[in-house]
Amino acid sequence: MDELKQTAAIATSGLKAQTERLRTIAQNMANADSMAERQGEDPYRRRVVTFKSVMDREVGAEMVRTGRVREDMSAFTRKYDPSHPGADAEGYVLAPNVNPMVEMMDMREAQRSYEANLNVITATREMTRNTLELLRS
Amino acid sequence: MAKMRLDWSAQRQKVLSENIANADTPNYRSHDLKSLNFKNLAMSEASKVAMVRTDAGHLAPGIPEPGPYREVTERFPYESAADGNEVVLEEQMSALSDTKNQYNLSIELVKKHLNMIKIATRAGR
Repeated sequence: MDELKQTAAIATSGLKAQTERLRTIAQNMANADSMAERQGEDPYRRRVVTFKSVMDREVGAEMVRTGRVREDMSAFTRKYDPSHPGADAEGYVLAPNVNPMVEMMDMREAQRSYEANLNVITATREMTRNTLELLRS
Repeated sequence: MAKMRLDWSAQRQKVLSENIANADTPNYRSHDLKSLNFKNLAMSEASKVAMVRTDAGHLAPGIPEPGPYREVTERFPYESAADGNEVVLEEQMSALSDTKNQYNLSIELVKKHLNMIKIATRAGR
């Protein structure tokens, strides 16, 4: 496998990893209001994607993979809503530990990384095309 | 020399793409190739030592062959994130486009060279 092909493979692994991350962010955002259903139960817990770099023997380069999707163990927030079925004696419901601002920032970051990887693929394609042009001249 | 530069920029493109793909991996340190100047070239030619397989039963080294040009880890990164990641995306992007331009330059040189050969062969007729 020549280097330009390897480059494309590595950048593609980056794209895949960022897509996975974006998927998890979407899941968090969608569940931002999934409160505890009954008293004593836990609401939705925020999920976090982990990245690790893995040596791919077939490609012969360090690719990026998503590791296990872990749960964010930070404390839940409490919301005052006595009419909710999950409310405790004081009228508070446990709400998910999802902060929409944090998720938005994370999303932007994923988007930027995705674009960077896409640019790598574009540059590599141009280099390959120029190499092929040699045959035509 | 143009061919060497082609090889070098292709390999550098690979290294840079590793950096960019791993831009969010904790504790990842960015790599780069040594710049292609005469001194480094002479050094790398002299220091190329490989183990010889004298018997078919000998095992080949398990790690894939690194390219002919030396890879170095950035020792003084411009900044590092809280999770220990040292990839500066902007720096990598500029290096990437720089490498692309150098590659295209070398391609043009090779093209010119081929053209000259073509002219020479035509002159014989």
